[in-house]
Amino acid sequence: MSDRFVNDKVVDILATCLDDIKQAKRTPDECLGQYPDYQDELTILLDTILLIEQTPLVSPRPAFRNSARRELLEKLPDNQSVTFWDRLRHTWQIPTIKVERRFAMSLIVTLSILGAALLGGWGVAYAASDSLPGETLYGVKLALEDVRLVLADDEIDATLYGEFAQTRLGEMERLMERDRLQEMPLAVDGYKNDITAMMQTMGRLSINVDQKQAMLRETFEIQARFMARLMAKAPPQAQDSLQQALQIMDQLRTQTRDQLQIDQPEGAGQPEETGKPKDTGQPAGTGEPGGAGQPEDAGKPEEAGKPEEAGTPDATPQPAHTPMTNQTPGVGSGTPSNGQQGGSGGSGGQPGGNPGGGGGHP
Amino acid sequence: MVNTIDTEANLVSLSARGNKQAFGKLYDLYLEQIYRYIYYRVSDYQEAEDLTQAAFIKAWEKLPRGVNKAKINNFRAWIYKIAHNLVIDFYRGRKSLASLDEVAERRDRDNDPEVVTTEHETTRCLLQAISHLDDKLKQVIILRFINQLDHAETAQIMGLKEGNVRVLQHRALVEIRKYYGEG
Repeated sequence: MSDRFVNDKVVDILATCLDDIKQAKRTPDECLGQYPDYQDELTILLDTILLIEQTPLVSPRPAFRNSARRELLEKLPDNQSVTFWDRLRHTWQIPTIKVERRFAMSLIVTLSILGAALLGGWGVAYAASDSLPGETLYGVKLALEDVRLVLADDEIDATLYGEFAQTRLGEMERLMERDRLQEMPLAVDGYKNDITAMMQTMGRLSINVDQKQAMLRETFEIQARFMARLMAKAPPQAQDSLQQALQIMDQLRTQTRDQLQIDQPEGAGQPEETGKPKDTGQPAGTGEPGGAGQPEDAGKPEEAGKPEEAGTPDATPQPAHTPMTNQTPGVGSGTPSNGQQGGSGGSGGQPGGNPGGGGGHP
Repeated sequence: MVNTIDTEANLVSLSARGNKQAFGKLYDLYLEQIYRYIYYRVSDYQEAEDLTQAAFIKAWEKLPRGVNKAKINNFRAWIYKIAHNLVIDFYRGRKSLASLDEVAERRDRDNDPEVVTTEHETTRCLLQAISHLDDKLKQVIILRFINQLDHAETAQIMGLKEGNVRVLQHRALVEIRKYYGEG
């Protein structure tokens, strides 16, 4: 047998053994017993795996863990422009295409879902329409909302976003009724996004300011009444979430009112009468959240090399520090792992004695 | 498991619509894994923290638009890929920052007691062993034996066939064993 053949064979045997051990189909000893010709090499390899898996896991420092999440969420740019009002003013004067929609998926995928809903019967769609944040069908509900947006023009979109915002409020109410207050922030965030999207879409409409004002006033009045009702019956734990939603709405309402007053021309001339072409292109510098693209884009160099940092090419830095370490969960348990975070059940699961006994470190 | 997937799909869907709370939950789910994946490749906890944050920010930026949903059916594989690309960026940017003097200097500079007290000799040993591997072998070791992903998912993240992952896995283990043997 050539070395190459032996090597290929070992590669396959090792992979099969590891899969079987992980799924608790075989123990390491059984694997070794099954391949006596390769026992020595397999023993060394399994032993090495054990060595790796017995090494305490590195985890982020508690200080980092505590602050990073909050900082990250603060740092995240809003999907729909943070300075929405600037954008709104901008889009009232400059043509734009409908790029700010909240599509979570391409048209094809969206239509596929629609197709699936049709094939699966309206039952699924109906059941989804009743779902709440945190439930399995909630994703379908959102996808179906997206389908409606895809199929509609801006004017209808504005109405739809208003409707979806209202739906989010309804979800808040039902979450409260079902005492599922932990999901409230999801609905509140959804409300914020939908109401902001409504404002943005409204800003693009080629209707006069009076019409916009009337539409917005009606939407806000309905929602304000609804929210007042919710606030009145909300348990204390839900007050914070509702307060947030209320603040968002108040803020938008105030901004809208002020801005519409500013934009209201003395005469009849409205922004849309200035002959702006309708939705023909992307305005330059509209503040798109930076560089959306494919994951592969992340591979593009983004930092300039630091000139003073000359050193060994291709060298990986030596360990500077090891942060928090945890004991590897998997090795000792012999429990099959599903590969989830911090997953347990390593490939070298040890019950029955690991080959070589999990050798020591050099 | 099914529930986890469903929940994750919902969280991705919500995040794609700008829901930061949902994205926060995805962050909670994958912080450890991504941090670890980056840490073992850059060997510096501060860089690993920065790159981990950057990976999630990048993921957020890429979620909402222009992304074919099919490409983020597996959010985990997707965010790993983003993290991988950032690590590549990191090394391209710094090229050879990795001089031992510089690392030593950084170590002196950093006297975070939290880090020092939890530093573990065996972890450092493993880190050193891994740092001697070439990048693909390094990735296989981290994904397969540290983050406990299976062959298929490792292949997906690395953009390889499963067969290639098996070969790399064998080679990486042989290399690690050699390193420990020599150590």
